[in-house]
Amino acid sequence: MPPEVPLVDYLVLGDHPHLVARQCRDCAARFFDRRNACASCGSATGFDDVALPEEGVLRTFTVVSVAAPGVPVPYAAGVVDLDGTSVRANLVDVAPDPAQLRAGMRVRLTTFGLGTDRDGVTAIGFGFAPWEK
Amino acid sequence: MAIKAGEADLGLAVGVEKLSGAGLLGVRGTERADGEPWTPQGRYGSVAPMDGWVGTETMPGVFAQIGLEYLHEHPYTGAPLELFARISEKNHAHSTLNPLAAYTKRMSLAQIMNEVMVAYPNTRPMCSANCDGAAAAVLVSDAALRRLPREQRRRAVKVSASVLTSDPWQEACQVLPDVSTLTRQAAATAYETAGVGPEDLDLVELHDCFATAELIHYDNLMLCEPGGAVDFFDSGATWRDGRLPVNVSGGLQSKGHPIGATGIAGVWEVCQHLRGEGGDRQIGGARVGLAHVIGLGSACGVHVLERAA
Ligand SMILES: [Zn+2]
Repeated sequence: MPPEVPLVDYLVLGDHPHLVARQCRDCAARFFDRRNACASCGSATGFDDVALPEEGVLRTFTVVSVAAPGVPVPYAAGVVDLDGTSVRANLVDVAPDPAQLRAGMRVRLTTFGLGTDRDGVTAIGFGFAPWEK
Repeated sequence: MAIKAGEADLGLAVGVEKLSGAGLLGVRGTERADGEPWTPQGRYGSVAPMDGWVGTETMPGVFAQIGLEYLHEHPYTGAPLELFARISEKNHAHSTLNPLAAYTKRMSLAQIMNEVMVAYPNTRPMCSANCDGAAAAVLVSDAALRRLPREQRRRAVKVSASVLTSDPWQEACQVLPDVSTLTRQAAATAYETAGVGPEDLDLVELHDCFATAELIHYDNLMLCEPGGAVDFFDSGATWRDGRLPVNVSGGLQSKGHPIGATGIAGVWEVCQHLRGEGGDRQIGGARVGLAHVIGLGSACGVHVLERAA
């Protein structure tokens, strides 16, 4: 398999791609960025990686039609609640149309290629797609 | 603050901004050369810019989500686009009486809904305008006020509360900015300090950087029952002839949003009405007003102002 790199370091690739949060050892607040200390309690005790579920519920969304140069529009963006941990993501495998989207709908993580660099490495992005059991 | 501490008895607060033509705020371009090796960078270890690929960082998109989240948490059965367009219709109608507004054209509901969509449900007239601007306020202590001529004392406005808050960490606050918690805290402290309740207010200037933001701040500033922002707006209360006029200046959607000047400009607008100097847009008999401003990051200022004489 050709080499792959995740778009962000909190996306874990493999057979079951998923997101990981960094959880404060003292107060259990969760973060996605690399940090020296916790923004909630101030502790610098450290963080543990916590795997997040692949399925969640859309909390809110928008369809962006005006964006910075180089960003294809329109695209649907939202905030997904993964069992109590919120994450920002695009909404994919669905038309970027407000009529197709609804806060409260169930969504599931999916990944896609963003392009291959001159070393043959493919970057993998992620989004959430509508999903009903 | 220096005046309150007794270090000074007369001060000048100034806000200035040069922002015309700045375009979409909050984002950089995402151009990268073809084939350039993917290299993890920054605090998310990202190999490419994230805006537009991992959700949106554009301001119209961020505040669109904040508004739609409110309608999800307080279920709304109507059409969100029309609701927010009606808020914008109000502010653009108000702006026709404000010669200092960047845009002073009345716009119909249909015009606003059919304008260029920026980030659903915010169309262009529902977004604040980048513009240049400046505002200033002269602040004096009680002692210094007594030394001023009678006609200046008559125009003085009492600062009944001046509160600045920053936001505590909340789940999701780094995913979608939380502009509610700190506004609620600032408002609660301001009402407590001033000994004034939302029911005592004659007018409010609040931070309508987008139509979607205005709705949630009705609730955050406790102008309505918790969760009742839509009913409050639908009652007509926030129009200039309503029970509690909001953004009679035209708001940031019409007046413009020169970021560094916006806070003091809101205070100035309220003062004009309390002095009876509001001209064509004067809210008759205004005695108590509130001005609210937000800066992402986040900080919130709330002032309760009262006619002194
Ligand atoms: Zn912590």
